[in-house]
Amino acid sequence: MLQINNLKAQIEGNEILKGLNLTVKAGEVHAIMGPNGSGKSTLAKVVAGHPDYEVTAGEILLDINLKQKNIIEMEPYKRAREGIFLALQYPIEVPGVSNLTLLHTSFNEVCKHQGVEEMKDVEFRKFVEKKCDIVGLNPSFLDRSVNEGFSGGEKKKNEILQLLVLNPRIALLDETDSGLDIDALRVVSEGVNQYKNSQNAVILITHYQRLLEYIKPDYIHVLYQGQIIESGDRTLALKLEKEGYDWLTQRHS
Amino acid sequence: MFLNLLKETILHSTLESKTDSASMQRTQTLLNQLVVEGLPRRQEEEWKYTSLKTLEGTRFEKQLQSQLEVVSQECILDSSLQELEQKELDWKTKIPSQDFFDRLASASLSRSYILRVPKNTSAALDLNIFLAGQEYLNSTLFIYIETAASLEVVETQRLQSGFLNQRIFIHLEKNSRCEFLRLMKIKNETSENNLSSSAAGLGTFFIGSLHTYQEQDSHFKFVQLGEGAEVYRQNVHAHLKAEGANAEIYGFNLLKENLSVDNNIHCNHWKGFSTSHQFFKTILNLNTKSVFQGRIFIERDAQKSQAQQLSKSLMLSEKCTVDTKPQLDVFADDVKATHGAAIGHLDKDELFYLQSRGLSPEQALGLLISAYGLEIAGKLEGKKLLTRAQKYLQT
Repeated sequence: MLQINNLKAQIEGNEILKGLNLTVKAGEVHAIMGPNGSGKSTLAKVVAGHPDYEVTAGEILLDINLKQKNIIEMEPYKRAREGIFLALQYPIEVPGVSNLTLLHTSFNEVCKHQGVEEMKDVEFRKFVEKKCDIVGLNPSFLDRSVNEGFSGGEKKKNEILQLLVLNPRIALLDETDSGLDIDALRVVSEGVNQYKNSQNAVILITHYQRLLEYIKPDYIHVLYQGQIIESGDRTLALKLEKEGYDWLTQRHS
Repeated sequence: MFLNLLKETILHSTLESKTDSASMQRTQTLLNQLVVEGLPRRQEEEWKYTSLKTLEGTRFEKQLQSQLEVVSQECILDSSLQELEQKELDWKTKIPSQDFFDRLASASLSRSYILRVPKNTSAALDLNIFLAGQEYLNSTLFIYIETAASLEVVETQRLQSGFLNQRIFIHLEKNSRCEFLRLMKIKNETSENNLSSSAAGLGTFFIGSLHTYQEQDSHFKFVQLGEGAEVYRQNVHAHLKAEGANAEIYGFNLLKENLSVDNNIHCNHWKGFSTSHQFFKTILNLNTKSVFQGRIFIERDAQKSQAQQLSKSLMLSEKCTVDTKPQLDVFADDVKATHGAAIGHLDKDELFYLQSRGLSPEQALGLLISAYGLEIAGKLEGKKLLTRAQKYLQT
């Protein structure tokens, strides 16, 4: 579904990703861990097409209509319409644009692109209110400006609400668990689990094993200095939790 | 030269209207004075940021195809010359400090009206203006809102080419209210489907002033939405003459390429417990210019008054200019007066965020721009006015 080959990317002349490889198949959950500054957020942003990053080598292949297509030159909104979704570590506030307006515009654009019928106002609101329930957001949030004045937890829940509404093929969740209390973490995880099915894939970026107790990953990868230096199953996360990254990073350098 | 030509144009059209020789004489004398005085120069503080050179270089015809339409079911309307001249004198005593263009507009009282909203009633007024054919159009409205009456005004300005010189005087009696929405659009000279619209709005001049005279506990709210002109000078001067009077003056301009806006806003607190708000926002495209001069004047007697002022600008191009100047003259010691100004660019992160949700760059920009304007439109309380304003921002 998504195949990243020898990806190199830089920002303002600093190379962050230094030849990264990753293959994600439909139905899989991948967790990406690693010390601060290893390039985890960069990976997520590069896949989503953030304009601050320049890809200098490699390819990002996405299955589009049963064919693999390199999306490196594709604009962010086209990637989104092809089913790539990035839940930001720090969701952006957009004063004056209501949550519902953004959700509806996004939803209709994605539908249009994928040849699915769009939804009218009343119908859409009902549809979204059900999704609000799942992530424990009061429907009154729909009429508020996007993320403006939201608490840290509410912002993260709002990202998951967008995920549930847009139902993308690949969900990149960049530290969606950071800043959440225990209850909010459970609710957010529940949202992700409801989204997940055999047709889509989840890439979780996290520092903590706790999230992985709620969202069960199939693979764990350790990103260090712009490369994936170790991959394994869930037991790897437990080992990291206990022992830290030293044993891996030392071996690598 | 310019003023001489304009004088001829005005005299011509005054002659055609039914006027008596005495008032014709007055017109002539006033125009002669103004010719000697000359157009305001940039050396004058009030005109520091806007040059009238292009105005001076344009020749205007007398009004023929331009239109000014006053529509109201409920207001009592009068346009007899005798009454108009009476009102002219009345306002000269109320507000002695009328500027060059105010006096120029007073030279001819054709296309001028007196409107009255009787006490305890509410009324709506539509003011439709179309300016075309390189014409000079001037107009004066004297509006009287009696005790506990209320008035909603929607003024639509469709400007194609020419010079609109306008004066509006509003007297708000005790406990009365007025909500005033001004919507201005540049109309393309050529057919709608002509894409080469880069010159749209050039050759279009608006200089208008709105003066309020407010009595106890009266409320005045003004919201203007527009896109600029070659010169778009908007004076809104509120005179809070009695305790508890309140004025709110707002504007949002999304400037089309090569156009400009110049907002000159005064809130004059003459008596205590009066409140005022000024908030103007501008989005600037290539080769545009925005001026905001906001003055808050609080008289010694006006204790416990509150005044707020804010101007915000968003620059979409490297080539655009913003001049913003607050002026606070506070002579009372127990008041609250604040002012602020912000100039910035579109937030790249906001743009990326919206695009990462599937919105094209144009959609994302459009959404952010209309959100910027909606903050101003949202100040309106009247449902009909709010709907009109929202609709304006969507197109």
